[in-house]
Amino acid sequence: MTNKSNSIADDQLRPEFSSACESGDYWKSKAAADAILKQNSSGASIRYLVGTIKQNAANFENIKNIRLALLSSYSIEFIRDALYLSFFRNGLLLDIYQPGFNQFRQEILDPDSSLYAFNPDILILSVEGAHLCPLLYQHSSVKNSDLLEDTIKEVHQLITTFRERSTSAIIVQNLSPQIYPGLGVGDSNSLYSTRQLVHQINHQLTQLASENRGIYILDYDALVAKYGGLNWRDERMNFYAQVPINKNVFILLAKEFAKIVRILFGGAKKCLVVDLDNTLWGGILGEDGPDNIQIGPVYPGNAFKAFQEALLSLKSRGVILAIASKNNLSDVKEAFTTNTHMALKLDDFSDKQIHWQEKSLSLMEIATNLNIGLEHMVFVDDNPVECEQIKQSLPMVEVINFPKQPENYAACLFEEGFFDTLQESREDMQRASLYKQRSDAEAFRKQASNMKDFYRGLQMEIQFAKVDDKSVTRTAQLTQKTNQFNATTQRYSEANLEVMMADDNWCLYNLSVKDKFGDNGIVGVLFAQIKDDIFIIDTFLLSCRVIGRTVERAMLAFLCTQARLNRLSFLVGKIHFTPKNMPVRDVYKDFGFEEIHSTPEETQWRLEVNKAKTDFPDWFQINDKVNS
Amino acid sequence: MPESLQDIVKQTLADILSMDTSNIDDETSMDSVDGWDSANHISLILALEEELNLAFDISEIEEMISVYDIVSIIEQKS
Repeated sequence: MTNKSNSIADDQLRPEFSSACESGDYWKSKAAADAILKQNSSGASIRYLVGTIKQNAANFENIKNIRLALLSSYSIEFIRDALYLSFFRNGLLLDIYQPGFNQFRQEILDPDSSLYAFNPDILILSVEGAHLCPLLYQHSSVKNSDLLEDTIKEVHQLITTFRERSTSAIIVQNLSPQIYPGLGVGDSNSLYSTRQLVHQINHQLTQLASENRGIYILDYDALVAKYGGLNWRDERMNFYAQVPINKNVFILLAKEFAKIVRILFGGAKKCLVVDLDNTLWGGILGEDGPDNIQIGPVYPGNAFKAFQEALLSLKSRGVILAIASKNNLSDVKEAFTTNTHMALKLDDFSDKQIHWQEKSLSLMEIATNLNIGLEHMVFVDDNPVECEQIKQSLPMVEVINFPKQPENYAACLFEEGFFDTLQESREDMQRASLYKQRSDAEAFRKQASNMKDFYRGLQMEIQFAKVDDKSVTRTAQLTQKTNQFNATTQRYSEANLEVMMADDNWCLYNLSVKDKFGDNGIVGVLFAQIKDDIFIIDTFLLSCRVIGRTVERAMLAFLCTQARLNRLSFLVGKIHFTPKNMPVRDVYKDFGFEEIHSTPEETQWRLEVNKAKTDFPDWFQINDKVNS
Repeated sequence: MPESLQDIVKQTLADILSMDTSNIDDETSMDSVDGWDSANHISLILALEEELNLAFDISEIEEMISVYDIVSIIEQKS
């Protein structure tokens, strides 16, 4: 599972990587690290990468520091480098806390443990089934449903105890049954065998996670099955050094944890940009013609069709599809209309760059038209030259260079889990069509002669509401995902928000925006705290879908209304600078706040509510659910 | 020029313990180096197994306590 190579590649790639790290260029460093790992993913290679990153940790921009507590029943320290690297590749710099071997119970149950002093952002609970419930895995023991109940009860107690003391996200690894079960082939014929009980425990863990916010299951059972138990385990090291898993799979387990955390910290990809020839169908459209390209019931057409169907399923769960192809637009239109084997329609793509310009320009154009950061885009192409061009010029775009065989395309796309989601919120499902609306709105804006006419023409309606049980998922998601128009970039989990919702001093609002192109759903978040006669704005953010429509002015006008109703005299807000939040920096200034404090990291602003002109812009229809 | 087995062992040990290879000789052992503890010993063994495409028995791992011992055990295996 590791692939090794001669050191020639390392000799070229390592200097590139280390100089990128020294200059603090995260995207270049990440791209170079990816290239090194592709050549050589050995432990030595990982050790080199992690050593270099750690030496230059203070240099990086575009990276987020997170605190990870690693609780385990085995010697998980051997996986630390792999975890550090996998998180780095997702824009996260880890500060890891790991208590003594097999201390996971004590650390959680003791309120004075170092775990709570460390105050993690993420807790990983990586416990092997045989350690959690030895009787369940012993061949000689009699299995019954008590084992199931006791195990679940213990996990439940650990999780709820931790939750009472911390709002950090918890990732719990589920259980994998042993490779050679006690009853052999009889194991699946008995209701009380290890395998059956493990599956029931896993089912109940999923239930526990679905009923409690901020708890996520890593499907260890599926992961071990994917690579095979015999490849996964190392019984020799299990008995000798309490390292039950093989050195070759450390990186695979680490990647799986990183996939979950990436979603929590807003790193999930939003848009998939595809090439056409030999990507969506076999052959060259311009040469073979719309009826002779390979798509349909026989190989390789059926493999291409299956890949198109996979894209359709991504679209249905909110991934935005776009095209970057060197082709004649009329040929492409004809192919999509006349070839009846296509699973995708041209309309499934929110933006289409079909011309003969460089693909890096196409990607930038798509990013602008759909208002998506390039770092949220994945590009797939069968042509290594096109892939290399994107990697060189836009290192923040994830590039997947497809292999020769179309039957492997879907696996290549899904392997890294770029579009994985944790909870399907309704907003996700609608997002693809929302972005299409946005692209239409962009076109409309180009025609509008003056801005006020543009705003009026949009027929916007804003609904303000308190954050409630129904909207808390989406609200938390917005705090995690929004980078540009976000004054403080405070990230909140659902569990965090639940605590705040129960606190009278906190006012948590969100807003939805409708316009003539459709319903954008919940797109903005406002959290403020009452302190004496001051309304302190903690979170002020707006999804990039509706940036540039003066919605922020309506949000501040709304906050002024709320301040008056609560008999508060001042609004105070701060802008905490991040590399991405340029669009939000002048929001308080533009509304008439005065600057009261300024450092290189942030500015603070204050508004005397009664002296401010706080009308809503006339182009909005306001629907105030908070006070109605 | 292909690296000698000694060099590979010394380089791997240096990587694991963040030491300079010039401070490592045949006599370097678990007793003589502070950082060479049981956890780093496992890391070293796993790294050597990967580098040389070998698997050691636990009895061998327990004897591989100096550069000299490591090299001789590997030589016996191949």
